[in-house]
Amino acid sequence: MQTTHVIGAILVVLFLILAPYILTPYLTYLLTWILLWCIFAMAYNLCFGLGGMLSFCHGVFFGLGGFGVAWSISAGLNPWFALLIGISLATISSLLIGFISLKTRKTQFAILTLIITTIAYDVSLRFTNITGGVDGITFSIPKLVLGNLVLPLSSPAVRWYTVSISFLISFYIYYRIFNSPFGLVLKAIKTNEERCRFIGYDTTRLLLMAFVASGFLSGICGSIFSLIYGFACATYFEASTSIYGILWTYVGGLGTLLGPIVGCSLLVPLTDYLSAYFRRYWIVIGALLIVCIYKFPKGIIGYLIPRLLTRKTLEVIRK
Amino acid sequence: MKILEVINVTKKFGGLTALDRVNIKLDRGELRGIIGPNGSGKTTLINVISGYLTPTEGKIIFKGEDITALPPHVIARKGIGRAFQLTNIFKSLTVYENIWTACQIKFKYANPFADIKKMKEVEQRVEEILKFIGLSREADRITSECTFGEQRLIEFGIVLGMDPEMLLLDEPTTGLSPQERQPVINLIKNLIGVKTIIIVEHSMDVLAQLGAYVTVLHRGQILAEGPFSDVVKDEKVQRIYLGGG
Amino acid sequence: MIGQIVLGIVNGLVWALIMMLMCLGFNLIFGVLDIVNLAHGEFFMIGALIVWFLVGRFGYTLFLPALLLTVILGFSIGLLVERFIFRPARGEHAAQIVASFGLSYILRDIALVCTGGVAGTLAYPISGVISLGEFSYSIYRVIIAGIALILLILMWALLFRTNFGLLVRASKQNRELAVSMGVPAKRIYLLTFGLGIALAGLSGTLSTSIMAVDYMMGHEALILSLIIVCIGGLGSLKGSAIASLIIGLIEGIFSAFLLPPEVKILCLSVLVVVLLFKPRGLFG
Repeated sequence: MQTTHVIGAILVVLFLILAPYILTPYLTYLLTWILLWCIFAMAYNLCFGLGGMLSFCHGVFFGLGGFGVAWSISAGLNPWFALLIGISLATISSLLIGFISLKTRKTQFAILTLIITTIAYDVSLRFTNITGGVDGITFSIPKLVLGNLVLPLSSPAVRWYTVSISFLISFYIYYRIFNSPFGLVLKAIKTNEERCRFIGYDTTRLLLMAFVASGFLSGICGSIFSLIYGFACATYFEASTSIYGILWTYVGGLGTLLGPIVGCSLLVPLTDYLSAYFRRYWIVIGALLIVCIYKFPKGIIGYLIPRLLTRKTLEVIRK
Repeated sequence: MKILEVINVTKKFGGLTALDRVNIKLDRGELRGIIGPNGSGKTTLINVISGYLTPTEGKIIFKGEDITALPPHVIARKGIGRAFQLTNIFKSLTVYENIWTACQIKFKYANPFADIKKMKEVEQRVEEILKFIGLSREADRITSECTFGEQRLIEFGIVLGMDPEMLLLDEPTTGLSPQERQPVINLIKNLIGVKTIIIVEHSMDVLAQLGAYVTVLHRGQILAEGPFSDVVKDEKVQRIYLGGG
Repeated sequence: MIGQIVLGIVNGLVWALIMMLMCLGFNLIFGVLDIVNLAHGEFFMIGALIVWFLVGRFGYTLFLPALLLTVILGFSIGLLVERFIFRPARGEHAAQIVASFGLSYILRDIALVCTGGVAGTLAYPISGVISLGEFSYSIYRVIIAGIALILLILMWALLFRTNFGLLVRASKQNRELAVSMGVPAKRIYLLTFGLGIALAGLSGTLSTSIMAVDYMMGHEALILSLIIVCIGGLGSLKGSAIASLIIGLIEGIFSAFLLPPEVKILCLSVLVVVLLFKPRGLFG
């Protein structure tokens, strides 16, 4: 690995370790929230940015991760088991949904995922006794037991470290996929799937792998979310969750490694602020979507970077 | 044993018969030209052999195995490499990545945790092929920025990268200027005897240079077969090209 | 029991006819312009809202004018939408999908503001029934079905018996060829787009007494029409006609025994089964 990468990584880890001590409680809370959603952004980028699959049903994976944890904790299981169940639920559902949806491609795929997600949402609203309906399920946030340590997940510091570690694990998986031959094949499939088939790649199987990896990471995000906030809700099943994924990856730079993280970090505080002060903020989101898609095909980052940085810095970064 | 046997293959599209009881047998290392007027079924034949289409009737045997109903990616893994008539490369990737994608297929590519930078064997192969097609210096260019001639060579590079035993070349020189054509012809010449090649061509010039054994298709049927110099003198063949069949 | 099933079948047929209009609109836009319009449902909603406001205030004498207004408004908004939402996409479906989804959020929120979140169904204007032996059925629904049928027949005539329709179908089959043959492509596209949107709107105007009129109704209608379109095959007019009948009948018959989400799962299952055997839909 290059020295710049190593230095960057060390700085990031240092920051993650020290954050609760150097930041205000509000900032810690906000950053915990952002970092958690970055996991989802990375998951979505695997699917859409790398694999070229426009999916509307990622909210289902997130939501099932959350419900898996919620049901397990409510049933008295310990948090580790709850995580396992939540993540497994998300991953299995992504396998099933992916298997069906990948009988199709592109437009039909997107439409199919939209249909599935909407029906999942409708169904979940019907079974209010297990999903809590529109209000969701709340449960008392458990304590994590690590050997001799008992860590209350409701404490901001514990939350922060839980999210940071999850983020680092997810980022590691995400990073490895990007730099693997599998990652390159996905890029190739996105560019020209037919050619890949004629080279010998079973593209459907490979796309399914990417989709499930994406579902897995979404499940991690949803499960941790539920665990640290004590809340799981079916509203995350809606297409809007995936819309956020689309926005973050687009703004950050579709298909780039750090793009979704940048996009998420910028947009999450922005949309949170908007929704607090402006009731009809979905109009803004809708407009933002339209503007981003057309004006910034390389993402706002892709648009700004060549304009802001000098050539030398660009070359350093590109290496 | 013949490496390829096309046995009584017929392909119908509704009322249109594109291939009519076509029989072709190829020896390993042979170079076979397929010629015929437009619409005679040449590309359909390539499509059927490579698995893009399934024949309505008939069988295709490759290396003793029946590949008739197999999907394209399975057929490709068995050793048949298909090059396309309209350039079908990865336009948004670099030349290097294009060739790499093809070379990678013979190695463990589906491992999400493997490190692409550590795959030295693939790297070696990619550089060999880049040298073979003469594009070593263009390796980092995005292919959409390459000239048409270069893109044709990349198409070749991809097929070679797969390391197939048999190549299906669909009009590899069409649209190239005479200067751009020569490297491609030389490439093919270097492969005669090493790989089995089926080449669909319009340019008599190219086939003459390659000294190919040629099968002539007309309206989906085999009209004539033989060494190029003989076929070209055949009356029937001359009639379909000049008299309008 | 049999009575319920028969009622369900008839209801289903009425709904199928209405959905056929909607899906026809979607497939025209997709087939001719190669545009995926996920805001299609919102135009359904606009049509319904127009009837809701005009008829709700001034009674059913304004029903036909409401239909007319829907068509005019549909065409006009359609042209604006095509220009600003879809043309920049230059054919890229992913961009169209995201942009039209964004548009649907905007339209939905505007509708929410206009309606103040109130929902309801319009009362039938005519409360009489038609009786056939033991079975009686609401006259109003028969009229609605009649209007839908007339519109469908008009559409059929337009597409298969006029010059314009011939040009539209030619453009659908092979756009480049049509353009190179001198077909006034731009005009055809704009008219077809407007027509597609207007059909969605008309579909909505006919639904005001059948489903709840609120800001989310467009989304509901969209999902159902997408299921139908996927079963029939994206872009296939014949496919969506047949699929509308299938789904309409399923909805009609099973709504009596199952809850709405369960009926939707049934429809989704039909779609999944079709996809397993014909990934492109029945006629895709």
